[in-house]
Amino acid sequence: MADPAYIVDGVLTDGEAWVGIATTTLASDTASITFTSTDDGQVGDFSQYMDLVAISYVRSDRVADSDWYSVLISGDTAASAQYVTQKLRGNGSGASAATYTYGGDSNGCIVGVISAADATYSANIFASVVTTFFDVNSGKYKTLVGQSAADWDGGGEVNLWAGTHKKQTPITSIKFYPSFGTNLKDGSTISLFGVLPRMVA
Amino acid sequence: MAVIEAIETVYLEADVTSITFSSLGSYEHLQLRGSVRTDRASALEPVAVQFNLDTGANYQTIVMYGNSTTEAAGAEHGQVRAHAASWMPTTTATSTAYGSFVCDILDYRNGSKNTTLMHHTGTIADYTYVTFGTGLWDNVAAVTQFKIYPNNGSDFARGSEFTLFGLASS
Repeated sequence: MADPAYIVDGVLTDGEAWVGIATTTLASDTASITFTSTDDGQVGDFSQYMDLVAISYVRSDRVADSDWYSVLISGDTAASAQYVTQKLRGNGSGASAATYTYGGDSNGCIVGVISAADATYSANIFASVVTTFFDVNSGKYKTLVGQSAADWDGGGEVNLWAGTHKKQTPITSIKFYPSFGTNLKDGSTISLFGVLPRMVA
Repeated sequence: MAVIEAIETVYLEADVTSITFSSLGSYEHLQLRGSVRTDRASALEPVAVQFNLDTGANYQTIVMYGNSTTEAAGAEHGQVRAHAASWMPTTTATSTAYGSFVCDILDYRNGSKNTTLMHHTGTIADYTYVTFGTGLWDNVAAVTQFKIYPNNGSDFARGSEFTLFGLASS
């Protein structure tokens, strides 16, 4: 088994603080994309990171101009209201804000508004979403901030997001999925990065 | 040199009044990331920042925010600090709730530009806020150190975490 890159000849070092964990690009419409900690001390083991950052370029198959984009953290589908999101939105003609509280798998923690599959709009338009998950191995409630940007050539909106998962356990997996659509469209791609803390005094 | 390098991580095992980052290295830009709570007795508290320990009224902050169904913006001019992050949870929030933020400090070693910062903050506790803001230090000196502290004079609470990153282009 190979050591992580920050262990050189058995010595702990501080190299690149951002580590590419994995990228998934869909070859066909798929209901969700999930990244799960490998728990093996290697690159995919979430337990070594301070933060996680997900960069999504995605589109939903919902027959509408747009869809919500959600995450489910550590597979938590309990029906209590454990996911809360605050957004600040601009759509070209005005600004608004809203808070969403959900439990269960239907909406999870909303982290974006993304383009969708109404035939009125181009099939080649994807939306950008960047989401940071903080202090993922702490005993705190898990928090996130992020941005989403979607322009479907006839409409669009940008959003800032803050969210929480009201659980204290470390994050072991993150599932990304469209809130109302059935699938993420083929070509959707998500990259997950781990952010290391300073390790050497 | 790594493109993004962790310069220093501070993970509080006890409440502290302030934290000073004084070894900033030779990078193009800095990024401070944090997970924060303060021990203020009333709700919500920003993270204040002073560059080079300048305590003069030389700072400005502008922010826009969403709070429940309210969208709004605000500004402060001629202050003794800028904000590196907006509203963080305090003792009025459940004990496991911490706010989170990312703050970019650009071209900090330049000795002929005023120093500005940009931050994105989220707090989901007894109040829900998402904010996007900027700050200005009205001084062209290169930044050699900076201090962060709770804006209203309380302490950062145990469990708060800050990591400073350097971004290098070569």
